[in-house]
Amino acid sequence: MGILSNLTMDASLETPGGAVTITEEILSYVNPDKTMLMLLLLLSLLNVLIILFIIILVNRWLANLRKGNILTVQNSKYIEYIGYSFVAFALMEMLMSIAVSLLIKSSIAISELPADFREFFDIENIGITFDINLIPVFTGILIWMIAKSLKYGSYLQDEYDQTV
Amino acid sequence: MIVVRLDRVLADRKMALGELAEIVGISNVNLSNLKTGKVKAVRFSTLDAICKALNCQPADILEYQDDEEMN
Repeated sequence: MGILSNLTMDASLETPGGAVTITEEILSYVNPDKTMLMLLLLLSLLNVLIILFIIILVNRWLANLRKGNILTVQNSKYIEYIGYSFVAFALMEMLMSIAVSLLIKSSIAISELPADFREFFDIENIGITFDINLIPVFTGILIWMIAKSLKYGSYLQDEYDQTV
Repeated sequence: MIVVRLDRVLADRKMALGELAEIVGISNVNLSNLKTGKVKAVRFSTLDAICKALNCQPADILEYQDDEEMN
């Protein structure tokens, strides 16, 4: 069974609502699906890359602002890509949620677990839900709209700069 | 398209570009861009200052040419 079988432990979790002990017997029902685990890791990595991309774009935008280049096409493009990244982030969050559900379903023999354990962790009815967080989606759309306004602003700035 | 004939008028008045730029109050770069037709627009205030400095009419500096004729 891999890593988990080499652990010798009994852990107990206590909450105001109750307590449950994780024994070796319970661990024997856990058999991580490596494919799903790799997929989840890949999705997590992509999530981190999206966040890094946003940070890089913000950094470049701020660098332009420091140089005094405010209303430029380049800045509007950076902000547009930040908007797209927010929407991508929301999609990634949904995919990760689905991947976690699939990992739990494929790795744990849920029906074999003791009833109190299933109840405590609320894993009885794990299903796949296509639930997308709309806040980053709306934020992304709003940022995209601001980017388009700035693009027009850069056009006006260009017209002004080319007027003698 | 509008063609700028500033170089012709400057030559007639025997004035250097830099001198005109200083009188008009715009940079050498901007006046050079105007002379070579790289600008998109000219303010009336700038045109007024140029005409005053060169003692000429706007028609002496600006000329309209049909794009088809130019091609």
